[in-house]
Amino acid sequence: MMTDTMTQSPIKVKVSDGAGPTVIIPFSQLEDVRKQLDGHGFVYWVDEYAISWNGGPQTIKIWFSRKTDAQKIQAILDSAV
Amino acid sequence: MALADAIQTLCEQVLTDLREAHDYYEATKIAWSTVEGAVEKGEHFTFHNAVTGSVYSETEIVSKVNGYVSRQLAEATFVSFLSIFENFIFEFLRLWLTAYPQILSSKKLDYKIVLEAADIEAITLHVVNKELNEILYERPAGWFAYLEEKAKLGYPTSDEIERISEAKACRDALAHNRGVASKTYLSKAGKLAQFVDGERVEIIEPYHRAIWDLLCQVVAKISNAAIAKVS
Repeated sequence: MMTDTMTQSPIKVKVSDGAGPTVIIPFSQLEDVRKQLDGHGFVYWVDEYAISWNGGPQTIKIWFSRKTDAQKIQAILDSAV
Repeated sequence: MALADAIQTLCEQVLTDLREAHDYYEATKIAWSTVEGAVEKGEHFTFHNAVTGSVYSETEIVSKVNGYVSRQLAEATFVSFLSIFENFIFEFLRLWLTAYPQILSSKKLDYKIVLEAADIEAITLHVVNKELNEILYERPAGWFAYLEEKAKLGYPTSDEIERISEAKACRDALAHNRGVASKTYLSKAGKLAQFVDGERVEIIEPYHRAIWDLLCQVVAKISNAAIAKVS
C-alpha cells in the first residue's frame, strides 16, 4: 500500500462530480506514484506547480481523464509495495 | 516594410494574448489549489452568490474544484485559444489583402459603394471585409486553402491543418452543442476525431497544452514566412 509520507495515511483517490479522479501526494513521492501509473497505462497529467504550506513539504496534484476508473487507480495504489 | 511591421505587431499581440490566456488558466488552477489547501488546513468560510442565491460551505466549494478546473476552466480557455487564433488568421488576411488589393481585382461591387466612399482605401476595405466575411464561415481547411492561394506561404502544413480542424471542431461542439460531439463534429474533425457521436467532449490538459503550443507555432510560422516574403 502506498502511504502519504506527510500524513502517514494511505494515498486516496478523490472522485468529484463532473471531473475525472485526482490524487494529491507529497512531491517527493511523485516519481514512485508515476511508476505505478505508467506501469498500468493510465492517462494522467501532473500540475505544473507544487505547493508548500508555511515552508512545509510540497504537495502536487495528479489528474486523470473522466474516462478513468477511480477504483482501478485506488486498487493499484493499495497494492503497490 | 509597412506590411512586415504590421504583421510583426499582429504576431506579437496574438502571442501575448495566447500567453495571457494560458497564464490565466495556470493562475486560476493555483488559486483553486490554494483554496483546497486552506480548507484542508482547517479554514472555514461560506460563499454566497447574490446573483443566483447559491450558498456553499467551504467543503461544498472544494468538492466542485476538480470540475471547475478540468471542465469549465479548461473548456473556457481552450475556446479562447481558438478564438484568438481565428482572429489572427482573419486579421492577417485583412492586412495581406489590403496591402495587395489587386488580388481581389476581379471582384464586383455596387457603384453606390464607390460613390459613397471617402477614398480608394475605403473601397478596398469594403471589398476585403466582404471577401473575409464569406471565408469566415468556411472550415479551417477552407481558410488555409484561401491563405495559400492568396499568399503562398507554405504554412500551415497538412498535418497542422488537420490538428487545427479537429480542435476547431471541439471548440464548435463546446460553443454550439453543449459540449457534445455530434456527426457534425465527426465530419469537421476528420480522421483525428477523439470522440464518438453523442459523447461529451473532454479537454484534458495534455491536449489543452498541445493545441496551445500548436497555435503559437502556427502564428509564428505564418508571420515569419510572410515577413520574409515581403521584406
